[in-house]
Amino acid sequence: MYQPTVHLIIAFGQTTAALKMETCCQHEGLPGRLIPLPQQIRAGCGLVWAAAPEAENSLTEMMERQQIAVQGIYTLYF
Amino acid sequence: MIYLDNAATTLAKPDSVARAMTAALTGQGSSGRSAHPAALAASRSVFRTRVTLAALLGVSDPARICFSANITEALNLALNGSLQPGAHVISTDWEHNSVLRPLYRLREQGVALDFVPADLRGRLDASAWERLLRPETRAVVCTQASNVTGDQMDLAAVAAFCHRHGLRLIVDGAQGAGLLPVDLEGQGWPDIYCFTGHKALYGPQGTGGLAIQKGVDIKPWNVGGSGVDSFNEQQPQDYPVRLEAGTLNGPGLAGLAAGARYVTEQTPARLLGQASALAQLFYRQLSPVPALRFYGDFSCWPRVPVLAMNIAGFDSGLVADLLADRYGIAIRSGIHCAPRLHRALGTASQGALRFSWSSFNTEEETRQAVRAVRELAADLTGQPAGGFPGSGGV
Repeated sequence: MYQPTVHLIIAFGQTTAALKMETCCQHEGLPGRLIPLPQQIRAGCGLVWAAAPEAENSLTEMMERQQIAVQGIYTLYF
Repeated sequence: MIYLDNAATTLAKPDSVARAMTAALTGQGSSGRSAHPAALAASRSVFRTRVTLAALLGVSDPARICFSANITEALNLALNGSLQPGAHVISTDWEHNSVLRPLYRLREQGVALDFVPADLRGRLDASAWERLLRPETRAVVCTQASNVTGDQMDLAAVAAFCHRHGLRLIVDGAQGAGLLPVDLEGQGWPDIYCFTGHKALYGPQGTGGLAIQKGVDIKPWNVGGSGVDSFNEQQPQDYPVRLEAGTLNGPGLAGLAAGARYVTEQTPARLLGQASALAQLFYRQLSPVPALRFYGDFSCWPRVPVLAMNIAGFDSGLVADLLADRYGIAIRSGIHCAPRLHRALGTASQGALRFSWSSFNTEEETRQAVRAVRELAADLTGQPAGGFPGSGGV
């Protein structure tokens, strides 16, 4: 049976930001992947970055350094 | 990958589409601008696209096929070019944001709006059309088929309503062009039919346009280079140049012609039958599963091969991701740019899973999708797959 887990979800205002996130994460070997926007979140982009919660610090550090505009960071259980 | 997101864009195209685009990209100049061989080749190619679409949509004069970058642009041209402040327009809860957002912007400019409401099952209130009519009503804009449920608009009835009251009928053919019959001059409606090239017409993205009934006046939105009448400070008034300022997408339109020729050869009725049969197989196998909820009217087949459903109360984005990740099945989740219909269906917070077929999908792909949805429903809900009716039949 499907076992829900806790996910770190990073939402963006624009698809370009989500794709920049993917490019930067791949380049720097950071964890996560793009998934559809969970319906409990409202955001300008239909894609979010999903990763394990423990990756939050490394991801936010990279986003600040790379100037990736974020609309919200959430911890969701699904 | 099993691609069942054809309502967003068809991924598999006839081979002739890519060939035509490559030939245009490597051998054609700019249409309508010069008389050297490369420019003439482009002009002839664009003209052939107009002729092909005019024949497909029942327009006798290819000049009344005007091209745009996509159907959203076509709808913006049709709506902004038809409605003045003080006018009233009737639309429906089935509409895509490509209709809704231009209408909401027009409302800010003094155009009044009303919407025929949909109920919890997505059915439109047929009695509302007459009730919403006002002395200042000038137009109706509606979709040919819902991009969420695949339900088809009773366009003959809507056209009769428009005819009785002298209203302009603008149709969003995003999900219908290439599948449903369209015959502007034979039927006498609609006044403006907007189409996209990259769905069931099997053309490339970046193509779309308007088929315009004789005598219908649309004020241009974009004005600019036309290649003719250059000392005129106004946009030339003849179609298609009237609505086509700037260089056309020659390679894209060459691809659209190839896609539309495929549709013409196969016939929309046959293509609808093929794709609808697959959607019907999917629906028949899965509709008995208690955990699944389907949205729309499945009483009549063939129907536009777009089907919306959910697994119990699970987030549609989560389910779509599991379908892609575990089974390699590509579908669309969320709200599908159709907020009014999702509100009516009660799925504004959950969204819905949208499966959509093209004539290039196969029965085996559909059976794999049935198995995947069954497994996923059992996994998510904790109900054993064996408890689902018909579980051994696929």
